[in-house]
Amino acid sequence: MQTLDYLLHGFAIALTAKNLFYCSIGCLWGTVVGVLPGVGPLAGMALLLPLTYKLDPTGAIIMLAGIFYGAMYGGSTTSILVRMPGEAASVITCIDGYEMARKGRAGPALFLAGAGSFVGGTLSIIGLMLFAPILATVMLKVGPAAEFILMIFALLVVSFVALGSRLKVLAMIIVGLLLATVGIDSLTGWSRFTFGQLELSDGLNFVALSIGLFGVSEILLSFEETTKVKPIKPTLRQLLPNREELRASRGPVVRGSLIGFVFGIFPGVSHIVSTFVSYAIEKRLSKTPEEFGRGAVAGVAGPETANNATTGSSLIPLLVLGIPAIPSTAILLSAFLIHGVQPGPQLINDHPDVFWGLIASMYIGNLILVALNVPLVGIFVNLLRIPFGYLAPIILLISIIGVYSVNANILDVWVMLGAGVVGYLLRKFDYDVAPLLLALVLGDRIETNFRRALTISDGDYSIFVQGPAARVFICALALVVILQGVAIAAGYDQRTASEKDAGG
Amino acid sequence: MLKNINSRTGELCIAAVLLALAAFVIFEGLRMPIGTWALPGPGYFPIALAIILAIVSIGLLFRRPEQPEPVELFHAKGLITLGAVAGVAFLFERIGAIPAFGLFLAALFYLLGETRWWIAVALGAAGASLAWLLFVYLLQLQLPGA
Repeated sequence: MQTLDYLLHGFAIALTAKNLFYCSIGCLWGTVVGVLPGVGPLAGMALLLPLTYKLDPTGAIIMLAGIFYGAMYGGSTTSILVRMPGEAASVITCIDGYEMARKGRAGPALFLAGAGSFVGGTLSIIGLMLFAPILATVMLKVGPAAEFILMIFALLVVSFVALGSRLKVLAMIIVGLLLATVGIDSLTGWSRFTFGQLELSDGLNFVALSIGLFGVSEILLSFEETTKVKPIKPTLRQLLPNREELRASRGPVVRGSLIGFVFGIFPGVSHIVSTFVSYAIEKRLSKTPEEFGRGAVAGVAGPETANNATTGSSLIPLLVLGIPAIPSTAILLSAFLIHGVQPGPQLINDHPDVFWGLIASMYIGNLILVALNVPLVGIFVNLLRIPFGYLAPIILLISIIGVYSVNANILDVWVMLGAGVVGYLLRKFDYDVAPLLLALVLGDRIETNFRRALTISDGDYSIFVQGPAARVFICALALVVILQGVAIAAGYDQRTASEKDAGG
Repeated sequence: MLKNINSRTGELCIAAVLLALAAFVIFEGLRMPIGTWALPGPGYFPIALAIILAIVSIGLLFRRPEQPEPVELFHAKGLITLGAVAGVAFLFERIGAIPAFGLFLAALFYLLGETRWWIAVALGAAGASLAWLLFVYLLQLQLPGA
C-alpha cells in the first residue's frame, strides 16, 4: 500500500508539464540514437548531458533515462527494415525481423517489436519498483568491507561476460582502476598523477573519457563501413498483426519479460545476452523451429521484449547499490553525481522525488515510445538517409560542447580526443572498452572502501570474507557463472555481439 | 590510410604500451607514501594495480597468437576528423567558441560531406548560429567569447 502511495506521488511529479516535456525529449532522442547506427544509447546520453545542467535533478534524470530505454525501441526499427542493428541489443532481431519485412510483414514486425518492448519494459519497471526498496533496506546494513567485495564482484562479473579475451578484459579493468586513482586521494589529500595540473585534482573527466572511448572511436570506425543503407518501406496500412501472429507472440513476450528482467540485474552485457537466450529458448520451444531465420514471429517478439525488460532491472544495481550494470547506466550515474544526487541505498529516503518520479516517468515514457515508434516509424527511417559525412560533424560538435561544459575546461576536449584515438586502437585489436569504463566509475569507491575496511579491522584482511553479505555476493557470482554458461549453451556468440557493440 | 598492419604486431604494441604504463605508475607510485600492509597509503593501490597490469601485459606479450590478420588503421576521413577536433580545441579559446564551431563544421561538411565549398560555408555558419542559439542563448552554457 505504501508503495502505491509513493508511486502516486511519483506520478504527480512525472506528470507535471515540464517533466512530461523532458520525458518526451528523452524518448524522442533515444529513438533517434537507437535508429542511427554508430551513436548508441551511451553516446546519445552523453551528448544530451550538457542540456541537463540547468535542469532540476528529477527532470535531468527523467530525460536521460528516457534516452536509455528509448534507444532500445529505436534499435529494432533499423534491425527490421535495414537488417542493421541501431544498437547492440537489436542484433538478433535482424534475423527474423528483416525476413518478416522482406515478406511484406514489416508493419506487424514493427508493431510486435513495439508491443513486446512495451510489455517487457513495463513489467521490468514493476519489478524495479517492488525490488529496489527491499534491496535498499538490506544494503543499508552493509559495511565498507562488504561494499568492497560487492564492487569486486561487479567487476568480476564484467570480466566473465565482457567481449574478447579474458586477459584483455582484465587489462582493461586494471587500466580503468588506475585511471580512477588520478586526482586528490580522498582519504589523505595526497595529489596522485596530477603533475601539478589543478584541472586534474578532481580526477579525469568521466564524460570526456566515455564520449572519447565510445562516441569518437565509433565515428572513426564508422568511416570504415562501406555498407549502403537501403531501407524496406513498411506498408503501414498493414501495421496490425493478424490473429495468428498475435497468438504466436503471446508466449515469447511473457518469457522475454522474465528472461530480460533476470539478466538485467547482473553487470556486463546483460541486455545483449538476454536477447540471445530468449531467441534460443523460443526456437527450442517452437513447434516449427525451421521457421526461425525465415521470419518467425517469436524470433522478433521474444528478443525485443527481453532487451527492453533489461532496462528496468539494470537500473536496480545503479539506484540501490550505486553500481552501473552497463556502460549506459554509468553515464546515468555520472548525471546523478553532477546533479548532487548519490545513488545507493539512501537514494530512496534522501531523494524520493527523484526515485519515484523516475519510476513513474518510465511508465509514461513506455507509452510515449509506443506512440512514437509504431506510427511514426517512416520518419525515423528517413534519418538513415542522412549521409554520415553530415551526421558525424554534428555529433562531434555536440560532443565537444558537452565535454567542455562539464568543467568549462578545454583540457577535457583534448582528453576526449586522446580517448577517442585510444578507444579506436583498442577496439581495432579486439579490446572491449566497456570494462575500462565501469572500472573507472567504481575505482574510487573500491579503493576507499578497501582502505576504510582495513582501518576498521585494524589491518585484519579476514574482514573481507566475514559476514553474511560477502557470502551472499560469492553465491551471486556463482549464479552469474551459471547464467553465462546457459547463454553460451544457448548459442550466444560474443563476437557477433561485439561487431555491433557501439556503446550499449 | 595505413594498410595491412599485422594484428599480432598491433597486439604486441598495445601490450608493450600497457607494460610501459605499469612501469611508469610503479615509478610514480614509489614517490608517494605507500603506508603499511595493514594501513595502506595513497601509493599502495596504484602500485598494486600496476604490478598486476605488468603481469597481465607480459601475459599478453607472450600469449599464443591467433591467426594474424591484416588490420587497416585510420581511414583518411578518420584522420581529417581527428585533425578537425584538434583544430577546434586549439582555436576554441583563441578566436571564441562560435567562430571555431563555424570553421569546424564548414571544413568537415566540405571534406567529409563532399559538398561544394560555398554550401559547406553556409551550412557551417548556420550550424554555428544554431549552436549559439541552443547552447548559449537557450541553455545559457558558458562558452568562450560567446
